[in-house]
Amino acid sequence: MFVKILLKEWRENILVFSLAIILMFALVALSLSNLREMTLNFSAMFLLLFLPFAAALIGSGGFYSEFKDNAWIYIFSRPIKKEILWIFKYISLLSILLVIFLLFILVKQFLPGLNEILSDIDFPSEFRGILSFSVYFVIPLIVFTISFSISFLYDKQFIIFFVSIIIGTGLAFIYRYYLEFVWNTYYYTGNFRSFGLFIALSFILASILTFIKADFSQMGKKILFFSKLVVLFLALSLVLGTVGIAKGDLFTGGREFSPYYSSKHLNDVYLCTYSAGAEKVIRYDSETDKVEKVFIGDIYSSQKLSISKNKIALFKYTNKGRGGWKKDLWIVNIDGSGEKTLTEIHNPDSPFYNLGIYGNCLLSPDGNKVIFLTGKKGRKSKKYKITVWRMNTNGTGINKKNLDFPINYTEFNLVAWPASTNHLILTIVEKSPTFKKVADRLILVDLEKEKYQILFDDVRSEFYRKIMEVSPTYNHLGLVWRDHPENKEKLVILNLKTLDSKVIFEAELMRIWAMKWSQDGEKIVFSRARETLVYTLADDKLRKVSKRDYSYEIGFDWLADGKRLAIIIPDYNELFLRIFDEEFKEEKKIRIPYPVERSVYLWGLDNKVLMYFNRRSLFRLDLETEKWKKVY
Amino acid sequence: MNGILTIKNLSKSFGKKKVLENFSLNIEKGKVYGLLGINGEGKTTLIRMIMGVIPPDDGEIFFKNKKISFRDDSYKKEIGFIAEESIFYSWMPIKELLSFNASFYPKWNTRKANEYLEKFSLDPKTKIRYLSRGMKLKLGLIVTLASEPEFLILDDPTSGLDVPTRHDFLKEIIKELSEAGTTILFSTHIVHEIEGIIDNLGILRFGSLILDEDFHELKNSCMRILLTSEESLGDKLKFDGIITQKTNGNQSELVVYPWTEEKKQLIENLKPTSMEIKPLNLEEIFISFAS
Repeated sequence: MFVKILLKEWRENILVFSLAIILMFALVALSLSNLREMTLNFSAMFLLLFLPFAAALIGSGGFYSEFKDNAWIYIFSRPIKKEILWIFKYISLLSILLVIFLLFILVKQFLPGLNEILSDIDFPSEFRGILSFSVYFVIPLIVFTISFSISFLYDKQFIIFFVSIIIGTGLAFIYRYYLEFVWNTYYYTGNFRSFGLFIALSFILASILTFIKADFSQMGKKILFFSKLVVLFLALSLVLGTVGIAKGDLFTGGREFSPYYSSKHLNDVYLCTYSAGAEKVIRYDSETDKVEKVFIGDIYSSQKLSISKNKIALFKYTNKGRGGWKKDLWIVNIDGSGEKTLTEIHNPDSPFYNLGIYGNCLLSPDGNKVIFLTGKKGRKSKKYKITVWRMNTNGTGINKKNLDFPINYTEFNLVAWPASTNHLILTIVEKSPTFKKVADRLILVDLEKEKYQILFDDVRSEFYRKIMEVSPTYNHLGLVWRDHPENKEKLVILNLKTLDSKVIFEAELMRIWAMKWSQDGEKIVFSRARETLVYTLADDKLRKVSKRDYSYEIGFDWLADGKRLAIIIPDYNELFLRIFDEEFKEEKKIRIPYPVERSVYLWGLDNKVLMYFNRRSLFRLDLETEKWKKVY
Repeated sequence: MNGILTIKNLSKSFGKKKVLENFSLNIEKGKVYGLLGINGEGKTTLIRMIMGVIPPDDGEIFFKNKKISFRDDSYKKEIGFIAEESIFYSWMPIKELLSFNASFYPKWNTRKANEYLEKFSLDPKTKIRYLSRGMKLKLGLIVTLASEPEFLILDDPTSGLDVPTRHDFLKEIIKELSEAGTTILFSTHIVHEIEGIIDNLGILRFGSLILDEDFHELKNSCMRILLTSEESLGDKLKFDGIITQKTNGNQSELVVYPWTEEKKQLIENLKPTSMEIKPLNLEEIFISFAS
């Protein structure tokens, strides 16, 4: 029976589906034609809007043929439960939408240039923070569910189509302002999906109950019945969603938290996390063996912390009035005390009033100064006007330098600022006029001369992977350079004082997982493909520490003494933490009783190792006693 | 409750308009029940409620002594339903509709469906939207009969059909079905077409059954009485069972049900100069009761 209903729904929607295929082919043809450059932006925008509209169109036609031919009398008089009929129809139409999603992914993935544009689209501030996955797929799914759920209420498909888009958009805005009201925050992907699921479920439940109880022939009664139910369920969803997200218990079976950036400082570990409805910086204090909150606020988009001596510098989003969401620079002591903003972006009297802050900030090695960028695009000059701001962490001594970059430079991220010099190193993504990524440039800025030069023409800059790391002594930078003429990836150590560089490893494909400096800045360990290697500056030697049977992203870190290494190595189906001594001989091998998430989430401390497990817990392992303790 | 279908105190309103009010009915297994009512009396509403297409406001429906609710579906496997209008997906070819419909019925008889297709000269590739009204009725019959129902509900199926088609439908198909023991509820406003088919007759008026009788008994005991007398008998003709009465001078015309010897004696006591007793046909019975 389901197959027959599935086939029927596909037959009825063959036009919409064919249209989707034709449009996708048209986009491919455009992309391959001479018109490509001219139409790429249009194609990207079209793709972005296409899915929600296709979803609303398919959903709103859910019961169109039943209305059109009075076939609702036919189908209701067949021996099939109404709720089953509803679910079969929903699944059938959803399958059409999913195939269109698949087409969309294929086109997006294989059309040169489109993928870059789509990932580059600057969503309106109301939607900032939602991953593109949600925008592309979750929103269309919600719109589809809403439109299908109301499609049997009225026989005019175009009315249902528009009403579902209005309801979907309206709920998104209500949700956005509600979040701001409750948590003084904006969208988060997790919250968005959770609330999205609740909204969809509210409509599904209200729709099924109306479908099995209300009189299909009486429109007014039917709509009233449905409206009462949907309002009730939406209110319930709001309460459940709020409580669930606040407790962090939604869909995780416990308090899930996910560290998206970490930094080891002295003998402590700092984590930028999202958990229980808020973003925060937490610190594992090695001495007390406890986790404390250091900072709470919207820090997601700034992503990187800068920690130096006893200070942390970071960006936090605030929303005050007309300016909308803006980043402010905040300084906080490493124990969480003395938090203050230095920029007051929303204050008309501030020299930073209404400026757009870019990327991340950096503290000087002594923790007394901070540097960051603001910028805007010059419309007439076609230049990217970047201002480099330097100031003391107490807010005094503001100094600014201006630099002009080409208009096609984007995504400015500060990498290193050895404050003894007037040099700043940053990465910039260079794009083609059609917004296709050309390369990640590593740039050296001379702040005195207000000039810049390209140090490396293409580097790997995914900060979360930790494959571009400054040594704790601020003397060296480890990076992966894509040497295009030789078609190789090279691991380079850049001396930040002399700017001399040395290639310590090269391969056609580096397949590097991460790199980590020892505390004294003399050794760097990196893991690639199936091996872990250590390079020592003093003797300029590269040593292989361990090998694995298969390519596997593993965790590793130096212990606090800077001599011993902790590495997770899989052995058959089990994971082991192995400790290597100064001579890289195995000292200990401890079985890990939990699944490990990511390589970067292992931190070596003073005779202890901190690890992140199972998407919700931080465990500390005492290397002396080999005992585990859950610390968060 | 010994009927295959029993309805108790069923009520349904649309807005402020009450279509059915405390409607009750009992149909016995193997019988053909004719439900007569003028247009707009609620016959279609009643049938849609039996078929679970719309929910009743109040009342109960029992099928084979089991109470059915709006959400129930299993009983529908045993009921065939032919609607007044076309209710099929118009874009579907006949073959696809039959295949789609077959998926709902475990006892679907493909051989029977093909036989009827041939008998009715329907091309399986033809889309439903291109079928005439008569052809759609035939398709409705195939859809219904191939599911081998125990109980068949016909909702004014022949209205608007040409005479030969109607004849085929009534005389051949329905007779064949009733002879095979299928219980039939035949709802119509075209009175004469069910004469000779039905076992029981119900007349729906103002939302309730005003008549619910064995048709053969009804025919034998519902009489038109034509009286002539020397003086007007209008005021003197008073007894139970007078359905209609017309008096014109010294002539009176009565429809009496049930007609009994006692009533005959009562009239004879009034000494009419002549008394003519005529049986009524179904149309006359309906008009008498409906008016």
